[in-house]
Amino acid sequence: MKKTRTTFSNEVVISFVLRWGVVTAAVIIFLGVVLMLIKHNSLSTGWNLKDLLFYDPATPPHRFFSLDIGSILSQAAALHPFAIIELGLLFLIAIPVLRVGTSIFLFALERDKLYVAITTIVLAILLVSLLKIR
Amino acid sequence: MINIHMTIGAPTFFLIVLFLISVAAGFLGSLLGLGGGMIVIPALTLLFHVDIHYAFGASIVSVIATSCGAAAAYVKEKITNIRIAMFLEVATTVGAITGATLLAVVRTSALFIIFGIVLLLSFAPVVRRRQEAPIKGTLSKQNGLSRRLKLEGKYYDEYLDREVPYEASKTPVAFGMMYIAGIISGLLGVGSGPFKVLSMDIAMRLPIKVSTTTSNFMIGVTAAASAGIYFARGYINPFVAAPVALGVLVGATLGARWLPRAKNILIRRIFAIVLAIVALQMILRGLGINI
Repeated sequence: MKKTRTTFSNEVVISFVLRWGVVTAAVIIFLGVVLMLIKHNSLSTGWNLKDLLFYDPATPPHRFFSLDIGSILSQAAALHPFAIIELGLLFLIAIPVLRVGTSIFLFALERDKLYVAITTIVLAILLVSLLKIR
Repeated sequence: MINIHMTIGAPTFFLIVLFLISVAAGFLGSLLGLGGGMIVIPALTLLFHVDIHYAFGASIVSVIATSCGAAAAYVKEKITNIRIAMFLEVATTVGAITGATLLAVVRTSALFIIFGIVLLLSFAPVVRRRQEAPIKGTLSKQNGLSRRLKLEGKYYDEYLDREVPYEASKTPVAFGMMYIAGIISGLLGVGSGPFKVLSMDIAMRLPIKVSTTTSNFMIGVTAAASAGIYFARGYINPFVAAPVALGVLVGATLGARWLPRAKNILIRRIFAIVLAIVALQMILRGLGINI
């Protein structure tokens, strides 16, 4: 009986993390878009499709949007629209990671060592990918 | 194809049109069980001439959003099997990293062709979607590995009005198939839901409701594994990804509300034909033939 109760609350906790994570990320992205429409003159790129959709893998470091977390955070603090959108997108990418992290904790509460181990492996694999973002 | 790129001048107009197309893609994706990404990528590349890498980047973000949104609802209903999902995610995440790494070396023309082929394969189950058949003829024999990993469970089936127990079989086969599903997800920026469902359906022989909800639950984690690499490489262009992510999320939410009323097989077939044409067009584009 005790076991079924913990399983139930696990599902409720995970559901909560997922739902509110998505809503928060969507709100941040939306605010970034609104800001972009208001002050597109201040963007580091021209407000035309040729510049905004420019892609050239041969010159990767010179894109009109930042790729490292340090610059994104400082630009977002200065209300740079692209940086705020990127912050929302990063938050969105982080939700599944957060969900996996929560699961480790919940399996530990259930004293399920095998699944604590399996879930930790999944988290480690995710971090291998995410740590590529500088 | 009409060259919208030339006619749409202002970025603001582009954003609005892209948002609306993404709403439609999210809506159709959730009705067909394909995910918005598979529909939005051809729209971005064929209609708007957006680079395919940006299309994949925008798609992967929308995949995470819809998967998390939908999973939140299913998990609460306790149909999703969190243990099976977690175990198989070891395979899908490693696959996703493999796929995302391959993306840097595969030529753009080849990406179009591979995407077209995967799209053709994905909607095969859409055309002849089975009626609600929650249990297989015989419960398959659970193997030793599956038992040790506790890959089993039960769920309440509304159609049968009783609890249905199930257990997974052929675990290593399913694990291998999931690795391939992960590669597809990482290489093409899609959720590869149909392939995940397939491996839980034909290898593990789980009830279809458990397969589909567990697959949906896994898609977000698989996509996050490649999204990190996509972001670091600059495939996620905020100007493209923002309207797509928001649009697909809105569309998928509307689609989920409407889903119980959309049982019409004719509508599915019509969309399948449209998607087949789109898939062929992607392949032709990859071969350098523009219609």
